[in-house]
Amino acid sequence: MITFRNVSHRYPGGHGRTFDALTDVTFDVAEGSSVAIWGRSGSGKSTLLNLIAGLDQATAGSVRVAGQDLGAMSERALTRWRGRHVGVVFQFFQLLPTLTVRENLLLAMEFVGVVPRPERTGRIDELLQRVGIERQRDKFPAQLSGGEQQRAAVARALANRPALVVADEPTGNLDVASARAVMNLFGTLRERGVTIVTVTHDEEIAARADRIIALDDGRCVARPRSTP
Amino acid sequence: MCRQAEVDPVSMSLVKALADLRAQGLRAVLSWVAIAVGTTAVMAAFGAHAVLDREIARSFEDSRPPAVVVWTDAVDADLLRRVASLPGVAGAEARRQVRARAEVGDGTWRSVLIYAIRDFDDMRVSKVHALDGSAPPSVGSALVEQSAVSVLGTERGATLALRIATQREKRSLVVSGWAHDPAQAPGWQDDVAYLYVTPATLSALGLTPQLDQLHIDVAGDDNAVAPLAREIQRTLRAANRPVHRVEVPVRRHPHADHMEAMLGLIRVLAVLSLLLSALLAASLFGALLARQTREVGIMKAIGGSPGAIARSSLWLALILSGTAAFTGVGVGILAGQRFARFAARELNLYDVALTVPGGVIAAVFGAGIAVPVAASAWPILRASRINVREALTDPGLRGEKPASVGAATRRRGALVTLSLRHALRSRARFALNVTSLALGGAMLMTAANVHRSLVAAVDASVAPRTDRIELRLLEPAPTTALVTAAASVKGVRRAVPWGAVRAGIALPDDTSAPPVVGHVAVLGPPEGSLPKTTRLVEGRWPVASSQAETVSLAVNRQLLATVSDLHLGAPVNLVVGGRATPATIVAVVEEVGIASAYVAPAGMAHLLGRDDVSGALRLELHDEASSVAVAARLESVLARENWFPHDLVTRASLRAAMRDHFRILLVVLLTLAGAAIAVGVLGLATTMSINVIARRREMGVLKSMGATAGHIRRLVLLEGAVATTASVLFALALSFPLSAAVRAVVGAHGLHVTLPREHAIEAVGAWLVLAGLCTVGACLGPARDAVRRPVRELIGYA
Repeated sequence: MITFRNVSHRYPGGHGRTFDALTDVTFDVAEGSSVAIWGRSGSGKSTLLNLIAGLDQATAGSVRVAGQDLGAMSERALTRWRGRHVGVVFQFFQLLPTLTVRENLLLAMEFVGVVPRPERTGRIDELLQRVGIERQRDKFPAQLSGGEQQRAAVARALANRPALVVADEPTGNLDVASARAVMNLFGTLRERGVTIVTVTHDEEIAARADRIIALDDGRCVARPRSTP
Repeated sequence: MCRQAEVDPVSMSLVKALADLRAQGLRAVLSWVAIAVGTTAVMAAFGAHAVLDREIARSFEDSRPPAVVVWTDAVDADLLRRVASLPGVAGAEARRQVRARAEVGDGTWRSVLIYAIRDFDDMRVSKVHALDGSAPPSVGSALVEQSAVSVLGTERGATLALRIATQREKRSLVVSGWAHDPAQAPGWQDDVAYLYVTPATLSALGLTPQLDQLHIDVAGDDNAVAPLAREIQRTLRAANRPVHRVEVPVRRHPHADHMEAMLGLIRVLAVLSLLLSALLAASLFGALLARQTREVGIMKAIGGSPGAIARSSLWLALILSGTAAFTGVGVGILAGQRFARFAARELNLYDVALTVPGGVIAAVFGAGIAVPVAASAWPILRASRINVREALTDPGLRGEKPASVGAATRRRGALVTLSLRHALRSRARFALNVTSLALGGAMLMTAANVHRSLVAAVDASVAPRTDRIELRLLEPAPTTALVTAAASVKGVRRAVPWGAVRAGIALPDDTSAPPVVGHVAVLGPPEGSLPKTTRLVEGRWPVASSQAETVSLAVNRQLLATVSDLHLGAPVNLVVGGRATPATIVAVVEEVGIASAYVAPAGMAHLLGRDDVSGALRLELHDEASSVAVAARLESVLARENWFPHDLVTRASLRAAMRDHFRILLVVLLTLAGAAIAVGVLGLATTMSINVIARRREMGVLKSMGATAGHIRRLVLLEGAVATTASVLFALALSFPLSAAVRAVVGAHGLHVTLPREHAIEAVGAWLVLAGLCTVGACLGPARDAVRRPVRELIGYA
């Protein structure tokens, strides 16, 4: 599903200097598996996630996801590809505050268009039921708890039946119970064949994944014993 | 012991404000430009107003207009000295006026007033300025008033062919230079030329060289004028000098009404500009500061007090508004001076000092700073009082419940719903944006509406007339002979005689010969009924019987505005040829034109002492296109019969002259429209751009959900369209009361008629197109930048 070969990513810094966020990263992720990207703050976790989801493009190396070479794609093609293949879950939910939960999902479907129009309402109801917030469908994000918002964000990420879901610290802003519920949800998704990539610095959450990619200073490393 | 360095809280606030300014980037630049343009408009309007208000008064007073004019036989040095030495007399001057016609080519003639001046180097009253050091003109030559050069189409050294009122043979005068007479309305407006000569030139023209008018300036206020006029009459009679007429002219510029209307319009422009700038500033600062809420949370979390937080935001507002106001004031002064220079030329003002008073500059500069700072006070206060948790998690929509949209909108899809809810998400900001945008549109529509009303009023005063040439004679002529002669002119289908005479107006007092305080064209329509070009607004149309001792008059509003103390029912004396006839105002009418009064045929006969003469003719032609040629032929016939025209105008030139009279008002209206477009469009562009720029993070989220560039373009354009459509509708609604108010100002002062209500639909269309284009440009520019950036950058954008 995901193939990284000698991937490096460099950000421009001030005064003509640069900052290496990732250096020579190589790994494979099989379809239908769950992976935790784990590391300290500043280790390159979010950068790696951005490259997997096509939110950014690597400055060196090859990134192939769902059979596509992301480095060769234009911003426009990346957007189209992402809509069809990837669902993104953010730490701060990033639900659109002026749309209801149902409308947030509907908007994602309108953008991509893979779900036929007559099936959209049914799919929204099904997704909301699956994440357990079907009674909140007509509420605005501000009217939901943090856990409910994140579940709505997960439902939105699944709206277009993506083969890959990437989540950046999805439980970072949630209480323990809500965090557990979200991770259970990810487990169910994996069982249904969705590839899950989660960025976390939480050891317990990382341990629930099939595999952990540990990062330290932008490089893949063996997982250290101590928690970051 | 180690001592910590103390940090001045003010300087830290300033440092933070400067850093914020850099971080705001394009948003700060756009806000700065909007405030600068708003201040420019306000400064230009108030500056031009201050300059013109001062210079109109100064220019007229510099000419030392006479308070009393006395007609006698000849004013010599001895008489002048004697009158000048009377107590209360501030200055006395001798003058003579001769009426003539000047040929301007192809048999076309124009009215000319020749003024003989006693001494060009020592004018004490009714001063005329010789330009280019060309005074005094040599014998046989004349100076031409600068505003009348276009009337004659002449140049220095050219020879003018003249017909003088009292003479049969043609005369000539050489144009030796230019003069400026601040007391005269621009010659091009009245289609009359003013020439200035020495008494010796009068002889060269076959006239007696005597100057027959005494122009007297009076020390003290207007109450001193009437007693002094009587004292001067006694002095002249004691010196065995005849007194043919005494006039106490109204001491106002001939076009003071137009100036008042123009200044009124500029005041409207200034106030609207101020309001627009304030709204723009409030809108922009609201948007700028809304972005800083999370930072406020951070500052509070590290111990920042509300005062310290407010200080840094205030510094930001002060830096932006201070520099923008400084620039706006500078540019506004230049723009105001440029407009004042143009207006001065239109009003025939001379040597205009363009210095804008320091007080006005200081006030506008102060307002330019205070208004944006005051506008930002509420968002600053709100931001500084927010609690830390709320601020840190602020999604930019705190406390705002998303607007409800109809089911019809929801059926159109989530993107349309999102656009509408976004556009309306902050009702206060939406209202502020729409109002500020609407104000610009309303100003444009108002300017266009009133412009159209003015033109319609002029057209209405000309369109119902079937005649194509109007002739007014200096002295009435036998009706039968006049009509026969005119009807014999090739191209004339019908000649309709009108009673017409120019009369002095004297208000009855306790003396046998009250002074003349104004002049009026008295007209007697042949049918004895109200002309179609006038509207009766008070009283009844005069139907005087031939036995009546008093003439019944219908007067127009122009006359009421020129001579004070005239009103419905007021008694007046009409002075024609030195003979005073009592009259009563029985009606007030509205029309576009000069100060006029109407009488029934019997009233005209009473006024003239006979009923077989006419002072005017209206000619219907076989072919309107031939009117200029027919007018030239008629002029020859009049010369042959020794009838001297006071005015001879074609319908086209009459219409042009009427519109020329209001050109300055039309220009002010168009300037108002231009300013509205500039400020309104810039405000629209700035507001829209800031709204889009402020939402880059959201665009990143949308892109992460699969939104393409097309989706994002549709989203921002739909949002822009909501604000733009609302602003156009609001502008349309605002334009009705605004147009009514401006019509009232212009109608009351400029024209003295009730202007018809007109709606310039094309202005609504123009604003719609402009606003639409502007919305597209302002939204798509920043949106295009956003869609090109990787999602990671947009998500990380603060």
